[in-house]
Amino acid sequence: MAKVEVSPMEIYKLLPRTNCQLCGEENCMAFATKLANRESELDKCKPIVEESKYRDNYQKLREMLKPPVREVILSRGERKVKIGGELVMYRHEFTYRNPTAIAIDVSDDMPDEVLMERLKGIEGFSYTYIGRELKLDLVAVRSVSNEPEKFKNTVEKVLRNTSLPLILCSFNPEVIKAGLSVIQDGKPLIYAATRDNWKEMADLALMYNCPLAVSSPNDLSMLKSLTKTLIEYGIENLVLDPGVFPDEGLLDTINNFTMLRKAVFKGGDEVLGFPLLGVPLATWLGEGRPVEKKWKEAYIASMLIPRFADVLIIHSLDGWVLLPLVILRDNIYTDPRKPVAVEPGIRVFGNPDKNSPVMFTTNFALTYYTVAADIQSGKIDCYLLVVDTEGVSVESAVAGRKLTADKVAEAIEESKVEERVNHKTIIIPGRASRLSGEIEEKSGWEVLVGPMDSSGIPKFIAEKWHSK
Amino acid sequence: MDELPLPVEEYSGKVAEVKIGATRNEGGTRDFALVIGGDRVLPFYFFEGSNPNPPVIALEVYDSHESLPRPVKAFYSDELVENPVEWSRYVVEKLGAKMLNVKLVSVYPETRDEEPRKAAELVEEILQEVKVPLMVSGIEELWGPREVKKNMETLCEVAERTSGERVLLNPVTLDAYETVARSCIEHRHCLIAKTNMDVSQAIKLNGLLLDRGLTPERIVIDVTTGPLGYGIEYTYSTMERLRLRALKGDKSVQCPLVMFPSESWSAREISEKKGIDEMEKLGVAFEVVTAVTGILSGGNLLSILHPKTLNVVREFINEFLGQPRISINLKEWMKNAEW
Ligand code: SF4
Repeated sequence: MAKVEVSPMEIYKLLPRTNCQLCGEENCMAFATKLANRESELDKCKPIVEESKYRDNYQKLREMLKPPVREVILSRGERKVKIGGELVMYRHEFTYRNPTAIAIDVSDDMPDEVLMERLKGIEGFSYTYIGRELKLDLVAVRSVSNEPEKFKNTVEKVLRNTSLPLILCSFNPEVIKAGLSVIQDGKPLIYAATRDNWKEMADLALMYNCPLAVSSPNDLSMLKSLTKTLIEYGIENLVLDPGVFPDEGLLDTINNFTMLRKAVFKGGDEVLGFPLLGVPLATWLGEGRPVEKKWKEAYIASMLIPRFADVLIIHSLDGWVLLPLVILRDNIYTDPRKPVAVEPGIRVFGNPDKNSPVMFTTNFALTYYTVAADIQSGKIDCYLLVVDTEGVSVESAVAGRKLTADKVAEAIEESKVEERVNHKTIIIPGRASRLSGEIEEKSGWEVLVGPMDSSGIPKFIAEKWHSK
Repeated sequence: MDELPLPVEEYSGKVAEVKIGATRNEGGTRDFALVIGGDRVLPFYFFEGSNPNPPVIALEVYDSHESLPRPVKAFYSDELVENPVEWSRYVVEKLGAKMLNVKLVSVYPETRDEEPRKAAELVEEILQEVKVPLMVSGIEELWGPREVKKNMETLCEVAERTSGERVLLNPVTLDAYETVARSCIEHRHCLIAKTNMDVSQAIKLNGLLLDRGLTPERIVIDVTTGPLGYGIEYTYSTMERLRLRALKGDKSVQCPLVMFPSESWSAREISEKKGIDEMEKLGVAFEVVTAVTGILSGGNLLSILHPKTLNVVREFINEFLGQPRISINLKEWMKNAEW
């Protein structure tokens, strides 16, 4: 089985070792290090891919670097959504790789207005979170009518109105075929092969070269048999769906997802090493008011994001359901090996003049973007010094001595902010108040202790700075 | 049919069970006690085994309501939040809360700077009015030495006045643990050992507390809750690592874990919302998602602020109380024609 920890040396030995720099790295060793950290891809080394004398080594390296959970790609034109590619069971063992892709469903029995409205909602969903755009990834088109023609028409409308890759959902191969026939440029996920239709579905997957989902609700032995059969049939890109069962079935749901991943990572199962698909949308089948279903869908999805789902199909389009989910996914899939940090240095907001305030914060991304957003929303003209705290928040940095008076003094000096203003007063975060005396001593600047929370900055500036 | 290679891991360690609240037979005045922890496997690894006690939710009440998010105040009404004793009674009798987290925010030196004695008197009153187990929180945001000292005084005062009630005292930190630990033992309470999202710090503080004679049955670990969007990933991984260590046999950390989904309410995403209904929905959703993530990473006790979150999370927890079910009808979600 492929392993997570591969040493750069082991990789280096198999590379061409010509230091030709075609991969964009200084030399082969630098490239090997990147590969070991999973920060680059083997195929960037053109010589090893193209030259026949390296063929053996290329194969060995591919095997060595292969993730236990295969990476599967859904695409549409230039747009690619990668799922799976996971290397570890627990996040802290390395890092989770490809964030859980979120698909929102539409169906072939929706009136045009409803369909368009939903597509607009899916395409338009966007939230800026610490400098990143959080968006939805896929559209799942369901066949409710079970009529190929109707499904085809809906797929065409979807294609015209979004640029997102698709999941085509039906257990009827004829319906799937009709949908596939109108997709020119891209590889949707076919959902799904079952014990009854696997051969027809497999033929379609081969003909259109598309990834194929395998569905075996709450029956992992069957799931494994089907998967094995499909691999033997020649399908490489599979996605496994063990089923999502709301209500009393939640226990089985999470048990199945967890068991599948543990079979791969701890049991060394090579058949089951594929991305997992979950359908929180299944909550909509039950009894109850829509709002109750939305709550249920929200907690099932939030359970499956950390617990191994690589793609989710969701029905709710409400911001209050989706926003927490896309943030959770972003959080869980950040790399625990490095703190989320921004570049230290001076940032200019608005059009500051000689009398404008100077403040500082840490380079922990979350802190920085929060402070920046507050400064912007308050339309404050100012200078903000970003002090290098190794990507740690103000409170933790003060406690862990990663934010010290010396560091602040150094940051003030290096920024040359002295040349930009004609005062020597610096506003410090409320949570760093215990450093105020020392900062004054070390930097020679007067300290004004700011609010505990950066949301208080606009008020603070209005009351304390302008009166000065 | 292909057999799954069932990778069932045998763990040598086990998390201690911490009992919160003492009944009359046990020298207190509670109607019942709550037991948390006792875990033998990671949460929801049912194929490996099941854990004896489901997560417990404590609902928060405050002794001063200035900092409460608007939707929470609106849910309870202004009169109610101004009267912490009535408020406590309401959440137990009307909302069915099984545990309270009484937050003595009035003692913060930066704000009301109330005397520990007064705050502790309130706890006594609440203990008389409601008969569920209590967590009592002093100062959780320990900016500096003033706060550390005040927190210690407050918790000791509470410990003394509620002697024998097995209150869960929160928080005890590396800055000042000795006095509170002593008082906790003397008055037969339990405590929350809080460190800052760092496995080695958590091990260190636990070790020190165990050295001072506290048993694992009296310690609940708080690694600090970074809520959704604000560091939840650190909390998640720190909790998961600690739990794995405990199960693998590290005796120094075999204690239940507490998590504070209530922290989610500080998220900007919530306060940015204009309407109070919008704020409430998003706030509860953030709190629910933080709670679910906390449970997945090993949380045995959750401190929650909004009653609606309590309902949703309680429903979530209840879904797991049965035995694994063998056969389930496949409902064909694909055909579901609702939109
Ligand atoms: S492209 Fe390949 S051979 Fe050339 S430097 Fe990079 S790793 Fe070495």
